[in-house]
Amino acid sequence: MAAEGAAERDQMVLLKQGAEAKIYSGTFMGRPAIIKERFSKAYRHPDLDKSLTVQRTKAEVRSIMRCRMIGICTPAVYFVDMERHRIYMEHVAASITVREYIADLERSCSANHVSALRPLAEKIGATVGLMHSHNVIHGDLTTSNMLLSRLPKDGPDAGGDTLDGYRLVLIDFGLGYKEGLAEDKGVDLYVLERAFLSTHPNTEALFSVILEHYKLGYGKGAADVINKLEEIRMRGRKRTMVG
Amino acid sequence: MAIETFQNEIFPDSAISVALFESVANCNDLKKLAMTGELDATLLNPSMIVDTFQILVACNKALHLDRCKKRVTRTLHSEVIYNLSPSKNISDAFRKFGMGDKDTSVLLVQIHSLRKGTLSEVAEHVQGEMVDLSRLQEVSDVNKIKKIYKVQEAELRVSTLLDAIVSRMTSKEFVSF
Repeated sequence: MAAEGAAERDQMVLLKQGAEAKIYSGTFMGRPAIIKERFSKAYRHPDLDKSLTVQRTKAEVRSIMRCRMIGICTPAVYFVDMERHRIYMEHVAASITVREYIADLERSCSANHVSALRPLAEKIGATVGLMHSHNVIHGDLTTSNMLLSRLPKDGPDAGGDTLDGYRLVLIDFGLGYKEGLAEDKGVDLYVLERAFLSTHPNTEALFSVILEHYKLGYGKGAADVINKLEEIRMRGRKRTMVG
Repeated sequence: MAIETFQNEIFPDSAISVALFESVANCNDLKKLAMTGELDATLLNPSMIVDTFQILVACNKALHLDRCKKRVTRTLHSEVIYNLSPSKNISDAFRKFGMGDKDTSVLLVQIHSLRKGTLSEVAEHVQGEMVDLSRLQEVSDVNKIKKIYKVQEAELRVSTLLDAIVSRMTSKEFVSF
């Protein structure tokens, strides 16, 4: 089939490989694009493998769309190829991960990097709060799955939603789903807390800023989630299923 | 003022040609020709298009669905109209995104093999003035587009209208807006 010949010729460069997908950079109709391709697992029954891959690809696009429609910046989706389990999406321009951004700040101004990071922590808290208030669970909130994209200097500055010329972009909704329970939101926050504190030691003060602004972004009902978070801290991410 | 042709990385054996016409006198006849299959092109309503990229996304999806035999409409070219729409209602898509009988402008789109575009032949049927594609920005009805695609202000704070639209087009099968 012609389409398969095309696959060999389209210019895709492997950027990363995860447990269930490969990330390539390439172009889509002339635009820089990121291509996420879920591969099949030989250890699964072929029928199950196919249906899981299709379901997860759909779920990922759904979560991206839910976030984008409530005003959380996510990459635009250009094309979904269900035959090859690929999502073609916008390559977020001029961006670094939050993880790199924090590491850079720690190096350049180690003395007061915590106060320099405050605006970022506020933005992260507000964004996750907004997302949870619409019952979207990200599933893998780490500082590597958050990008800071530098906005063009004289571009259309979107009303006050910037962070010192940067915009916070959430990526990788591969484990995302919709759920209203405080338990799932609490686990989402717990994953963020663990990721934050383990990659950036001595930032406990920053995480409490995140939580403060989470409450503001979430609005009514945030207290339930924070209470759950405390319960989850005591027992870990997995719930005890005894009795 | 010419036909513009675009290439597609995913289907390198094909290309997409686009031309915009204004002051068109015979939309009614053109539509009849298209419906009988005599015009090998898609006739679009230019006021629903914000950027050529929006057309290219629809064409790419049409080519993809055509090649894996999952087309929803009768022809490759009608699939382009369907793919532009955020809804799964085919007649609704034609009403909103297809050229109307009484329109005076039309956007011609042809998906063809790499070497053999015949949009100039199709264009001969149009009694109107071919204008530059950059005119699209002036012709598009932004308020109507926002309404039809249901794009709210919250999203436009973090995204361009174009990105909001193409994301809806690509995901309409499994997301409800």
